[in-house]
Amino acid sequence: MTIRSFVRAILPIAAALALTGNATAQTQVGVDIYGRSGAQSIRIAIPFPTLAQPVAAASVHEPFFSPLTRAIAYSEIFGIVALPPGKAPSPAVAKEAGAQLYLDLAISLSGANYVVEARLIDVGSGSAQLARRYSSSPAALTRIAHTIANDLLVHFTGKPGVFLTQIAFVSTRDTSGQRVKEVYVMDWDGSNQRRITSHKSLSLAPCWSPDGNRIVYTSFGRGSTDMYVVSRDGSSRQRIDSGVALNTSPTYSPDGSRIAFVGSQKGNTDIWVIDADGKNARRLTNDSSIESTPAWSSNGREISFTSSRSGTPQIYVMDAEGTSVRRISFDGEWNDDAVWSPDGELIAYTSGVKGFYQIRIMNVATQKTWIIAGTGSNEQPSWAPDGRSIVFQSNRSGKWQIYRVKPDGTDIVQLTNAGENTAPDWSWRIKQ
Amino acid sequence: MRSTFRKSVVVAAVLTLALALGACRSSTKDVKAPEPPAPPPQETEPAAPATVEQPADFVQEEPASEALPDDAEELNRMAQEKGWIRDAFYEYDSSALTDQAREALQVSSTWLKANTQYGLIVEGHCDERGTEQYNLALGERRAYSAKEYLVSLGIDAARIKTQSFGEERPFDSGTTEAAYAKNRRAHLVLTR
Repeated sequence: MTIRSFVRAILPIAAALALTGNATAQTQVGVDIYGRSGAQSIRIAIPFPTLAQPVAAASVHEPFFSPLTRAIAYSEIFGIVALPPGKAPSPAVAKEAGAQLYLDLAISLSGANYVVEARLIDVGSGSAQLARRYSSSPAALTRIAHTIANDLLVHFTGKPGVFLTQIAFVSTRDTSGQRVKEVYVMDWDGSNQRRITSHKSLSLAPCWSPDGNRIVYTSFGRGSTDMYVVSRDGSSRQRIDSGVALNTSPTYSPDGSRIAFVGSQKGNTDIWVIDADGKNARRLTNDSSIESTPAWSSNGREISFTSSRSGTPQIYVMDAEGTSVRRISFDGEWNDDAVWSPDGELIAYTSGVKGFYQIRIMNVATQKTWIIAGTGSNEQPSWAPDGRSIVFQSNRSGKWQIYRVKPDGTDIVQLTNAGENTAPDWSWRIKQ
Repeated sequence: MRSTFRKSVVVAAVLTLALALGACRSSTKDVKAPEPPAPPPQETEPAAPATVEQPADFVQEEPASEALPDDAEELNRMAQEKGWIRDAFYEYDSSALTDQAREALQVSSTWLKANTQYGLIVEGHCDERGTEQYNLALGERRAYSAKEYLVSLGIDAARIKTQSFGEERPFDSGTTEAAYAKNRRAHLVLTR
């Protein structure tokens, strides 16, 4: 079943059944919607769901309860309150434990489908702030958990979380003999990893289209390097013929109309841009040095890229027409892989420090930088669409794996295990 | 023709002996390095011109088409082992041709001129120390620098394709400077 049909299976049935006007928890807590450190969080109790026969706890715990609590904890909007053991959970018990909200969950089976009823109860007034019913096949239970977490965030902040977004990456797990790299996608928390290409060759540097329907990447499948666009479920694929060589580091503009990439003519690599339908390729830089790794600013007006014109690889920014080029990276002997935060205020990049690579973050306005310290080499950052996390690749375990971390370096989580996994690209918020 | 034939036989005998001695020596070395895909650049010991040219001359006088294997993989292994085709090696983060790289490409061009039935893919490779995306661009430059030099030596540009592999296909997976040096190269692959 494809992701889109998962979503279709859930959404028509999800319906707001009740919304009280008494939003006590909202008025009591000053919520910083960015959830930055020091922000007060809403204290919420989430007891294990009530299960109707024949639903077994084991079939609900990993696919539903763990991802739900993981997502709610990640949001930083909510602090999860532990309920005292030995007492039957109830809003009153949760109130005694210091909670403001109580998420009451009930799961039953209707034919082959799970039905999840979620009620968010204000423990002060005892009234439900939110009550929704979700239904899906057993395989989509995790997506219900992620949808509930998103709905809670929308209710309190007006913005969905990242729990229905996806991360594209490259994995060697299908290798037999010469190393193969294929494009994979996974859910935001590393679950549901699946392959979407089958070139049985090298496929590199996947990048999402802003609408989340397509991924552009570079493949060696034809004995040259070419750009391809694949649908997110892998069902259809199209080659983009740029008319020039190399075709690496492709990246969609924020409006989805263009793709910036590295093109080569007579061995001279420059930043190029091509319309998303594969027409009208044009060169943006014109320098005899190496140019590489373009990235669009969040408003699409500027493009960052890597150039060796100063003698070492450094990050430069130009406007989207290729003019007003200026160097922005000065710390580190080898800088590459720049990516802009969704609010446009920060740029994360790979920075060579004493022979190792670290993820460095720059405040665009002040040009001050800091490093997310980690062992091994740490490369190819990509921002979460809420700007609260970065995914990147690290070989700290001895193998390349993908990790998620907060921009301040805390809350690091390893997302992949099988084979070697690199080049993560976090999707935009995918329209449902 | 007869004298050439006799000369070939003599040279072949000498080469056979040399190969046999080489085999003996390399078999003891093999304990340390079980899988040397190609010789690393010998900075301290540049190949003497005499020994460089001898196999090249030998090839030119040989009725080559009969002796060369049909299988492309086998052909490339033989061409590299016998030194007819030599890879160009590079400095860190550089696509400039060193003197040794030029020498290697000169030797290769001699053979390519004598064996015009083959095409060539020049693969650009990098060591793993750089970043992946930048190294794909660097590999492209390396491949092209080698191609340009071969063309300047008289090889038809239409025979030569370039392909960057960045750091995706290292020849030596080690993390020593010697391993890195082997991985910074323009690798010449013969095609039919």
